Amino acid sequence: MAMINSEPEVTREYFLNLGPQHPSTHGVLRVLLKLDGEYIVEADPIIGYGHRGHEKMAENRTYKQFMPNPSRVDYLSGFIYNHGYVLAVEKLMGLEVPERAKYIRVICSELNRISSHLLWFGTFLMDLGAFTPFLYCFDDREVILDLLDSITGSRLTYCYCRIGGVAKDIDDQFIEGTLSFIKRLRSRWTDYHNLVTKNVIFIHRVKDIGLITKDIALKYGVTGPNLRGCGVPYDIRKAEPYEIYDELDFEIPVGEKGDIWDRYMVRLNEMEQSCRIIEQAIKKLPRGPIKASGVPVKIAPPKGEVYFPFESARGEAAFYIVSDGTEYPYRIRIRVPSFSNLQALIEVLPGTLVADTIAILGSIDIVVPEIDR
Amino acid sequence: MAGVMEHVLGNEVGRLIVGLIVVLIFSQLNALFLVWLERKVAGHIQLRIGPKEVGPFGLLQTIVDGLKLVGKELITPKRADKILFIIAPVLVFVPVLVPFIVLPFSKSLPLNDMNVGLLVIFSFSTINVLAILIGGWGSNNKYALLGAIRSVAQNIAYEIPLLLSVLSVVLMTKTLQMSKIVEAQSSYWFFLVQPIAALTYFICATAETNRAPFDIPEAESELVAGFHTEFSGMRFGLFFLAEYTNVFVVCAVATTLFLGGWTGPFGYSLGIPGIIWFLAKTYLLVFVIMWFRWTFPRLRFDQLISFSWKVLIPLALANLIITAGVIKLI
Amino acid sequence: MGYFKDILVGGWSLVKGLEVTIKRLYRPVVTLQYPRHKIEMSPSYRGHIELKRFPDTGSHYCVACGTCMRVCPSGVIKLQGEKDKALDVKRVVHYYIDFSHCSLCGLCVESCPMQTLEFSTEYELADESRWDGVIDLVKYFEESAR
Repeated sequence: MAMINSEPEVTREYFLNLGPQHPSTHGVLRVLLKLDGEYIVEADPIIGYGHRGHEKMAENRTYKQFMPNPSRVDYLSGFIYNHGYVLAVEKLMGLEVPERAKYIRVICSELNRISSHLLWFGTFLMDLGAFTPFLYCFDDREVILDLLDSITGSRLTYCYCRIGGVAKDIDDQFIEGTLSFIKRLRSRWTDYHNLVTKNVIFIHRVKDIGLITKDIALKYGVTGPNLRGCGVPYDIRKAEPYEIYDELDFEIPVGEKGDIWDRYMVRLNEMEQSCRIIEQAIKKLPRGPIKASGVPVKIAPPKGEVYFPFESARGEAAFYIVSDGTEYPYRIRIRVPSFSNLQALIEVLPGTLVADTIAILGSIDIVVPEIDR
Repeated sequence: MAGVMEHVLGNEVGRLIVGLIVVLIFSQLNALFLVWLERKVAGHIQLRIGPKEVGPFGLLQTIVDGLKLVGKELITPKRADKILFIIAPVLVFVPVLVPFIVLPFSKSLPLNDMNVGLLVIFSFSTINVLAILIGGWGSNNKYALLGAIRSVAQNIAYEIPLLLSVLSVVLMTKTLQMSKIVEAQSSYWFFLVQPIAALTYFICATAETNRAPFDIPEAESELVAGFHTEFSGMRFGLFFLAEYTNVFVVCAVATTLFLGGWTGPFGYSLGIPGIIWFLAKTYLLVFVIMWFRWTFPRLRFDQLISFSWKVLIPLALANLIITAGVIKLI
Repeated sequence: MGYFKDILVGGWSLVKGLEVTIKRLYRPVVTLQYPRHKIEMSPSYRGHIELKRFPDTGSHYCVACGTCMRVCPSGVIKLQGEKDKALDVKRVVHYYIDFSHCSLCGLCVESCPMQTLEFSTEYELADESRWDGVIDLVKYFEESAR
């Protein structure tokens, strides 16, 4: 905030407000830019316009009553957050979840990851000026939303995982629908590569721009595809595996330099790897119960604390739950990846053009409501 | 009735007045039609239908939108330069109607077949840059100013290869008169002998009319709305209509110079009147320009300028020199 | 030489991109003209809750115990019951939900001891005043009998 408190004087540089209401800032984010002509001298993101008080709500609701909230923190990876919350509470209580429930939760999480990356793809290209891939991605995403709707009942914010398993079982129609969706998505890759990836205009907009180097990334705690884009192969699903990820065979796509092109290719390849995970999980899906037996009606975990990280579509998200033995949690803290990812902008943006700012902001894939919670 | 018409049309002044009225009506209908076409084409490329409720196939949608724009309040920002603010939309719309007088719609139809017809068209279509600059500066808005500055640089950079590619055709026909250029293509169309000039002209034409992928001045997702951020109501409507009319004019010139105007392929008119050939070819080119908009992302501003200076101008110059050499030798 | 190759490769990539969009131009549209064609909601869709009608008695089993009211995180449910002196069971008389605050979590459906709540598939709920989100479930139940 040092920029605003400086004395007003006639300078060559001027301030431009990439305001809270702007077609490309993915939510209510305000970035105060100090410009010299078209080059950026300093950038200062200002957050807080969307604070909803999720962590305060957590103190006044029981563990079961807090369940709708994690989905709404990051509404694009709603299922992954729901899943992560339930895993954190189960770890605190020491519950064993039946195998079938684990497989179902992983399949739905990966579907959600694909849908989040598809939406990122569409909006990123809309920021660059190509309006059509947005509609194509939504057409593909619609199939995922219908699939998840048929078992969970919701399209965007899910409340399907329960402490000890899942709420409802899946049927053959869901499995067939998922397999045919994966086939359809794989046939789309050629279209997307022809329309976007090989396009010379796109390549010029995207190569060697917005370099988040390894030092910057490690300094600010950047995670997710942004970190993997600069060459660090850190994915929580491989580093600290939870659920059944250690039994499945998939790779982590890694970039080289950390420019927008690398992040873009990492996310496209991650979608393909998610398809692989889903196929393997469906093949190995066991029969059995979907809810653990012996789960008490009043959920009161023993005194203690747990920090449970999981890989959301944007990076490392985590739940830190402190329990004092009663039904109401003492404190739930949600670690969101977009908060750390956004801070890398302070070092990356100076020296770039305004048009590149929009592209870089789009390529980091932040969801502003999750920053403000 | 027929006697009166003949008398009026025989008289030079009468012909001019009737022609002007027809031109005005045609350009308005054309702009309305193009807006509808753009929305339909955009819709079907994006897997949806465009407008369909108002009128059959949504044809009356543009008229209804125009009425809505007329009914909106004309807001002038507080510290905007009032004179410049009011002049800008007028200045962008009126010069775009002048080229209709010299466009050769068919053998007898150019309203006033001046022997410097091509020069008239290009000189009047350059005035729209001035109008954009006036509009951007007079708005007292940082976003609008940025958009206007970019537009000026872009238009200057793309005007040069445009004129160079047109010069190649003029060298071949040795005349600036539109109808004579069309007559020179009666055996084969010029894009067969001047493919590079045709391509360069088409790219520069897209850039001159500020259409995607060169639509930096009105970049929707970067600068809110570029140079026409502050114009509301019918002022915005005038900018909008002027853009579409400009697209039509530029495609009509491309048809005349490279696609043979009102002649059929290789001189066979196949019984279809010349004006139908002309309009069909022009609307085909307009469709291609619309197709470009919905496929490509936007170029960044410095890439746009360097593309013009480093790629288009050398190509156009080389083409001109080769054309001149070949004509000298033959 | 690399200059010309760049131009040609770049130009060809643009043409391939154009090919992708032109193919979509003549494929059928994927949208639905909403007020004229409506889609069927899947049976597990979460609309607002409703009282389930059981085939053996032809009525619901709600005894106004208030479990759903206590478990709801948003405080959406308000109900009142009355003891039927003759049969010695409690029956619900008023049951209101304020759907504009409901987060569709499903805790009421799962925690009901009589399993008498279920999600409806109503989605056309938009109306003019904010109090139209308040739904009277008993009246809704009786009207769905016809």
